[in-house]
Amino acid sequence: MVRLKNRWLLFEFIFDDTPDKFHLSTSSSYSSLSQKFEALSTRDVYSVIKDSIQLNFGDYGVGCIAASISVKYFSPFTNIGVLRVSRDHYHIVWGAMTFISQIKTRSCLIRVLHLGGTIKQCQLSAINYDRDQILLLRRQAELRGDTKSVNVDELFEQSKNQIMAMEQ
Amino acid sequence: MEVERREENSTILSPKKLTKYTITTPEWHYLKIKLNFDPPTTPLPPVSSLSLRTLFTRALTESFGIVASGIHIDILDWNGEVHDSNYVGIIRVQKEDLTTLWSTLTLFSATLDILNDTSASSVGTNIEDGNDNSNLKEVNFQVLDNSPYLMGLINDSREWTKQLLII
Repeated sequence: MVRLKNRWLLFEFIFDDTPDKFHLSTSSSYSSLSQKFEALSTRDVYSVIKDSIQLNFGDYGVGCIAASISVKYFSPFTNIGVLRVSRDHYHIVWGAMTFISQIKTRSCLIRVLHLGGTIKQCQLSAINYDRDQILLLRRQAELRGDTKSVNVDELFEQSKNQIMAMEQ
Repeated sequence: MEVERREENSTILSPKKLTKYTITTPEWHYLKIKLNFDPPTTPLPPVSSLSLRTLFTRALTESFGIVASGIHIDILDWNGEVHDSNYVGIIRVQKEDLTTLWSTLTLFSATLDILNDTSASSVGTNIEDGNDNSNLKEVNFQVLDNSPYLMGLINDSREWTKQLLII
């Protein structure tokens, strides 16, 4: 049986307001999404990546990856996402993501955090990345003298559950 | 006397040093291309090499995107600057870009506005229904020959057999 090999990309959206994202509002949410912008869905991410492929790699690029590309997970709170592509053409998707400069009128850039062969590796990488972000959040809260609003264990648990709940 | 002759002969037959160069991976690939007009009614318009370059960029951007439109193409020769020329040219690309360019040329067709000066700005005007379209001509490319060496484009052996068949 011929095996269809895939590559899983863990990526992060970086917006202009990203450094402020860890300033918590009074409602102790996981991390504050700037309330003035609407949350991005997997569909938004998928369409912006597909448009970038069409522009930069043409009909050929879209034809190569259309059957295999899928945005499996995207969290609008942390702006982390996981995407699956076929192994032979992952460089087209990665290149197109590098060229993306805006999504839904917000200027952004995409940073690829991990490229793996299985979803498991990406999940582990995402959990580690979130862990670092949560600890950074905790540190920032401590510096402000505001130690009670960030419950590290609870946030760890939340993020882990969300990530492991990703479909195959 | 015989001995002398032998000595003379020995100097004539002494071996010379040979130097041999082997090229295994040629860097460039040369294509001989022809621009066809459909329908081929006369008089055919002049197409400058700038228009040709615009056609290449447009073709590459359509099929392979912006990244491919940056492919380095050298137009070495182009016969299309006057009316009713033979529209045959020789272009050069990097070896790794050959398949991209060749497939693009084969796929591409566009309309050329011949009433106006066929400069870069008029390339690719779309045919609109209901308007007078007699000044718009469809163009496409035909790759006549290709070779990793320019010398390879001099002769096409198919031309020789054509002559034989006529007889």
